[in-house]
Amino acid sequence: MNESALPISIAWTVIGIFSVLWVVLGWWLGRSNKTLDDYMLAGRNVGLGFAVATSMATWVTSNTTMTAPQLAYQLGIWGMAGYSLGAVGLLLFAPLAERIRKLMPHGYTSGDFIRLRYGKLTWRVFLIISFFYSLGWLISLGMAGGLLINALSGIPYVYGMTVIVVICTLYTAFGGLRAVIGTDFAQTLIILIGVVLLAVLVIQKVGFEAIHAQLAADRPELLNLLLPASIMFLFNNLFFGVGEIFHSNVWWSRAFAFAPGKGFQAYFLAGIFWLPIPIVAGFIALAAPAMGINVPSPDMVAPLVAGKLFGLAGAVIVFIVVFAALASSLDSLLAATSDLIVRDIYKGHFRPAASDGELKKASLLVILGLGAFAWALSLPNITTLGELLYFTGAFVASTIWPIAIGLLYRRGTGLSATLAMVLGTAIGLYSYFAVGFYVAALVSAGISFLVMLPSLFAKDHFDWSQLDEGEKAKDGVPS
Amino acid sequence: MTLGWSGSEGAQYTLQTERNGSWVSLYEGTDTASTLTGLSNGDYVFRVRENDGEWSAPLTVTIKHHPLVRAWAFFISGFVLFIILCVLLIFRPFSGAPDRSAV
Repeated sequence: MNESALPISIAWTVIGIFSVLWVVLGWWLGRSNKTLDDYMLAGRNVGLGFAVATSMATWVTSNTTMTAPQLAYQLGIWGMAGYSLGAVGLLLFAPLAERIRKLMPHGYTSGDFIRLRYGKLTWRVFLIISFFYSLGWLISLGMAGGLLINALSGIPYVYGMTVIVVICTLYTAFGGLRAVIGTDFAQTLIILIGVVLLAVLVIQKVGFEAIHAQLAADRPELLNLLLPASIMFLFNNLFFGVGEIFHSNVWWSRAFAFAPGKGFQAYFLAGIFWLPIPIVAGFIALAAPAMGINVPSPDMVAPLVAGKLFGLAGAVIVFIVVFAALASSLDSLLAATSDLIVRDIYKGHFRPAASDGELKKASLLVILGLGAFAWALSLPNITTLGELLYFTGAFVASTIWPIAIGLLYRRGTGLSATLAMVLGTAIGLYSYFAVGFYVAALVSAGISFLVMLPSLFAKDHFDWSQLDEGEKAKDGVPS
Repeated sequence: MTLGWSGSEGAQYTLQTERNGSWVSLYEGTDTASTLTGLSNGDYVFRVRENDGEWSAPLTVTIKHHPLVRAWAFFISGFVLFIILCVLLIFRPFSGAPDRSAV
């Protein structure tokens, strides 16, 4: 972008105000953290309002604010609508969240479930997938922070990326999940108000008719409901979103943290509230041709349009919304990935006898380390955000069936779950390169389903009580 | 597709495409790339120049979308898979014997 919509001085002022706000809020919310459960899982008693807000805000990410417009610009109407199918992941996870809380009242991570349900081999394969995904998401968030702040304000990429990573790392380290959920609540309000304001501004300033006429003349395929790539993309995006949510500890840690009986309502309502956001964000991108905006790189289309459309006031709104969206996801990912490292790697592999106090201290150090790691990997700004994001689709979609079947049925062995994940990922990745990014998750989910299918017709064998490590510990079995 | 070019820093570039036998400007400015989407199947010709210099040699780009049959095959596969997932999650048809969780 040649001319930034937001003067650097105003951008730094906004960053300064919100950075102080989030860090102070994180510290204040984290004061009452006494135990490991408090730090990792907000005391396992999060009420409905906070539960809905944190689920929604975490799912509104740089992917929503950057990639939804990018896909609308590349794939047209279906790209925009297809992205909103990401809400299906939240909706389908609603019944699972409720069940996770009941089956594993003392659980901490999605890794705990895989280990107890399928055994150590599957657990390790799952951890590789999960860490690869977390890494991809962390980098994409860090990069999105730098790119967006640069596009909107002209602040150099490295400074913007550094600010967003450092601030989120600090308040997550101070306050743990309680701080993440508390700040998510405030960030949700900002995102909702901001997105509604932007939608009104776009319709007032450009109008549906002008956008449609320009697209019909110059970019007819963006309006074509039979655009082949878009048709393929539709369910791919759905399964990608479902895979992300079903496997990621970001969502499992919330299922453990929400008060009993709140998981279903929280995820269901979050899905409903999230649904229209990508459509509004994508719609902004479709205005680019009508406004004569050149788009050098498709992942920058949203800030380019917003900057030109809205002037100073609009740019400030966009900037605040984007900052909130990035922070609400980055903090969640830092906390959840740290839980996975501490519980499944540190305790699970190296320090099985570690006390809660030791794990709490380790969590803090891991969050700080992860922040530094994310910063270092985001520094080179290597690929477009969409490509980075969809590369992980093949990985996460392979976990859908092992998790769904493992949670709902007493059937399915560790071997079948492992094969489903390995083959799903491998063939999904092949299709990524052979066909395109818009089929990788779908192919992965399809292969994984075929591998798990015979399990559905096998005999029941699993005893659900094995999932409750707290009960086993009481019975004298070490957890 | 993304068209890219290079030249002197800060130079003004003009990107044009050929439509019905005449050249139409798509972009004028300092950017060194332009992403064009939503184009139908066919050949497209582009040229670019720096400031008021010589035009580049015309570049022909062929757009060829995936066949619709392939697209529908993926779509239908995705739809069927989605329905199966919903049925498994909501109706749990293979639950078998009651479990101890009573969930």
